[in-house]
Amino acid sequence: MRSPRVVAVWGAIAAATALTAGACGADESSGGDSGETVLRIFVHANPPTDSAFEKINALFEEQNPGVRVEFTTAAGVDFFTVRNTRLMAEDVDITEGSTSGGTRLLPDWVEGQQESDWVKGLQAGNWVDLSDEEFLGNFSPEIMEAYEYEDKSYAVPTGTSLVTGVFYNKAVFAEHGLEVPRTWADFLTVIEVLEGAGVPALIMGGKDAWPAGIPMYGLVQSQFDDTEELDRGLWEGDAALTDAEAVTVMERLQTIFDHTLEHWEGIDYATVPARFAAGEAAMLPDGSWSIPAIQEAAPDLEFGYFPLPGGDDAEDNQYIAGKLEFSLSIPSSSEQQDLAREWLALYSDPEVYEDFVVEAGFGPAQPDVELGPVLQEVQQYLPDGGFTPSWDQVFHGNQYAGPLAVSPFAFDNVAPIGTESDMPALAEKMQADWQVGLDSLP
Amino acid sequence: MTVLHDQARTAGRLTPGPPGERRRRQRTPWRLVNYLLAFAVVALYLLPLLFLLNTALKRPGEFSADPVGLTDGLALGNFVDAWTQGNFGALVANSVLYAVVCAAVGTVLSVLIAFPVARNYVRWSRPLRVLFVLSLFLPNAIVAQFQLVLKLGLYDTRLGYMLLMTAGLGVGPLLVMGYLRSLPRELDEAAAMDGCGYFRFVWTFVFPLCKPVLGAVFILQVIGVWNDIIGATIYLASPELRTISLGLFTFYGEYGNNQWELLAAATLIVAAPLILLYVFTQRLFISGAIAGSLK
Amino acid sequence: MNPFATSRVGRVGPWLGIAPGLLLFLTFALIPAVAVVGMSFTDISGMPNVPWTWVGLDNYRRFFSAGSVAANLDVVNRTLIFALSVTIILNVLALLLAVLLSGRLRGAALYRSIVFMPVVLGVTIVGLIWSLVFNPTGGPAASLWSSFGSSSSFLGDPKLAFTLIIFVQIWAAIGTTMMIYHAGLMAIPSDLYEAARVDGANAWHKLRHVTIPMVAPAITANMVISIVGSLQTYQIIYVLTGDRPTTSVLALKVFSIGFGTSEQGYAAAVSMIQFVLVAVIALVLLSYLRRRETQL
Repeated sequence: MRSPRVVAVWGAIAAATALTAGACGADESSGGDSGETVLRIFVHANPPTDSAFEKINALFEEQNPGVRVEFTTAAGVDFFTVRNTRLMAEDVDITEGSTSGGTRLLPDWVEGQQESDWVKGLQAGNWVDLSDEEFLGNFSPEIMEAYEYEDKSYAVPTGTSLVTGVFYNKAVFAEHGLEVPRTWADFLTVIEVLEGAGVPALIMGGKDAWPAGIPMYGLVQSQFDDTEELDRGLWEGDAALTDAEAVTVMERLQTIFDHTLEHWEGIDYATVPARFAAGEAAMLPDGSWSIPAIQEAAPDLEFGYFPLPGGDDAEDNQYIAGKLEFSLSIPSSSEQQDLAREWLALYSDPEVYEDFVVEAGFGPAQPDVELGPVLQEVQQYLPDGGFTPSWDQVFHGNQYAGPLAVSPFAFDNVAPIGTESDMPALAEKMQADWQVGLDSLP
Repeated sequence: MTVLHDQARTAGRLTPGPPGERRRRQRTPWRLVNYLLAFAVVALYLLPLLFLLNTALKRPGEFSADPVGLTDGLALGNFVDAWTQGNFGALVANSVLYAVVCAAVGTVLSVLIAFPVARNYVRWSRPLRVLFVLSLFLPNAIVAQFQLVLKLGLYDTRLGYMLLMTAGLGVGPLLVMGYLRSLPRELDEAAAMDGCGYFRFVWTFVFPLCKPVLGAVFILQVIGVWNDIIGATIYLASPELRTISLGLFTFYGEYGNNQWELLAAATLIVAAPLILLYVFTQRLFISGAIAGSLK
Repeated sequence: MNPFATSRVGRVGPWLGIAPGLLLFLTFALIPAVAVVGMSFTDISGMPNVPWTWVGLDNYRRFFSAGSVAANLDVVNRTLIFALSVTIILNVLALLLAVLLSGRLRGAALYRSIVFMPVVLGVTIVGLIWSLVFNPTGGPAASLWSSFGSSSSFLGDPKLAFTLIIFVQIWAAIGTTMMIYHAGLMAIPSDLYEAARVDGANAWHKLRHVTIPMVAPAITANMVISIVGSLQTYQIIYVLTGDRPTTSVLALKVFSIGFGTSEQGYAAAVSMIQFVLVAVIALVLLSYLRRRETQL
């Protein structure tokens, strides 16, 4: 009869540990009384930005003895939930305010939809007004403006990302006498020459589905002169997803898919920058955020980035569109607002910011930042204002629309990612799914 | 009834020895077919696991060059690198604490609930039983649960997390209830006649008699707590409270771009304590899982 | 009734014992779950200070709205296909495996432990293993395929991915199911087989007329546990393919909406739809199997 005693002892130990541990846990997390001030920073997990932030944190701790920066991240969809729970628990001093795209209020042609989380949070007074901070003057005015809400600033930008470009391997292009394609016909020639020489033309990470949307954004950019007009037209019924340009987007997307490495639909996105760097294919349609990963995989690789030439005229293909990256903000509930401002001031210092933005691989939100070679070369594809928003930043979804009109241009239904291979028929279905959304608005 | 119980108990032994008569009657060709089938099944399980081990032992970069080939050497450095870069040393103590405490408390509570309910010694035994079946598929209640934990001041504390993980008793009470049906009721009556008190009876008779099923309940809870990611992500915000599975999840994010050797090594580091625990408690566990299901 | 009820402690003892566990369960599991019912009639966001309002049945209407209904019913349909095929194949294979590994073979207990290993490892690790195995360029599965002169993108193939997910789920879950059947088999008195043999029964007859009726309670338990489990499975799908139109199930939708968005009211409504679906299927199946048990 030893075992009941064993169980009893276990139970007692367990209960005792639980209570003491619980007490310790409570002490540790309150943090304030232990003589050390804690600044809590929480952002989404992303290796290049994580390591850039850690460096700023180390610098900040060095400059502020007695202060400890508690830097935490969450990956994927968990980030959104944890940000909400930590805001609810008043357990964070600096976090992402706008997660992408700046402050975009719903335009008057959009009906029956919700404002973005960022805008809802601003309306609820969840973020600290930073308008009077001098360090905001370090950033480019046109970018600051994109984050403003009712003429006040609540966000410190991190940078921009370019979305609608294509990485290319310069050595491979030179070897086959190829130049950067300016038109769709050029692009097809490049593919033909490469494939004729037995070089796979394109690679993408299809297993994660969303990377296959990147060339779609590029095609939309080339096919439509004014994407904002397309958004309005769709909402007001002046434009349809069965229009000639829209069908061309789908057909050219299918062509791109057809010339991507065999079985790319099973390839993990995470492995793609390294595979491109290793020369598995000559071109990679991807966002500029992949620059650090490509460089890390092959530091000596010579590569460039050009706008996807989705239109027949070079004029339609001259710009690479992109998006505003996430911003940093201070929650109104933070008890360390002064310290958080100091951290943001350090972050905004031109020298510190330059290191950050280069390591993160973002386009700069401050003027006069010395760029890495790839981004330097890309400047020729940016308009004078510095920035064109890509289709995912312009389009307003309708929660009552069918699944094929969610993005729209249902790239993830096109074979081999999806099962559709008749593009005009798919366009009809996309339009039907969009129309049903308009018809069901409350 | 006791026969059934004994047979269930023997099941966990490494050489359970079925009735000898039956073994003699196995015809040889059938035996051969059985062995072949068994080896095929074992291969289907061992090969993927060995593939992971093989990957963990490759030199950095070797996997990308040749994923399937046998490792050239034993790159044990991967384990050291994964251990230090993933900071698993600081996390493993938390995980052990959470898993052992939750599983121990959860197991004791399961018996305390299951015994009177299985015996109908309390009113509303039937609704209670239905309640614990429902507990297997309650709707996802993260937002409401979070508010509650926050109001109780249990957010971001070890105690709060352990209470939450213990509250999800899962199949524990049900397994014990099922098992108790195979134990004779007469024992209770005899003990009560002898003047044995309720709790003394539970401690000195019910717990030891339930030992096999308690092993199962214990390790199922350990597995559940050890592998929990969502709960830990939300309720353990401070880095010093985090668990090893959360560490592994973060590690995937950091090194998921092609450092497969390191990733595989980290995976094995996180799995190793569980595998060891399983091997040690296997006897109890297997016979327990068995017995509980016999209603 | 309670034979300990002769003393005061004996009368209240059972409730004293039940109280801590029941209290924990009610506080942290049941009450929040009941709150979900209320939340499903609101547009609550989960963000602090953001006002919410009662919206009646709007969230449920949205799930069944003209634009979404076809896709959502597709998801429900796929959930049922997943749960049914996993439950049936899992139970048939697990029973056969339990018979095969029931101790007549040398090292059977070891083989059973090996089959149980994925349960111990957990979903994240199982997902990583199979993602590596099904890597279309150079993974072991691709090497195997190419030796037959074939190739595939495996988890990236919209026609194949769902089948592979079902396979991985069965592979990962069969350990528990098999163990429960193994227990049932151990409890069958050997003279029943002896009698069947004397009557000239072959292997199939023994399985059909001795084994299956005798393990009927284990079948009930396993069927209910696996149907409830597989109706709620989403992690393995999330790890292997993400939330894709060709592989999504209801539980994965609940996860994607509940975690990826601030539409917690809508997430609560979808959660409730899932709860009702699981409850109806589980309770109907339970009562059906209980009746069958007595007929066998």
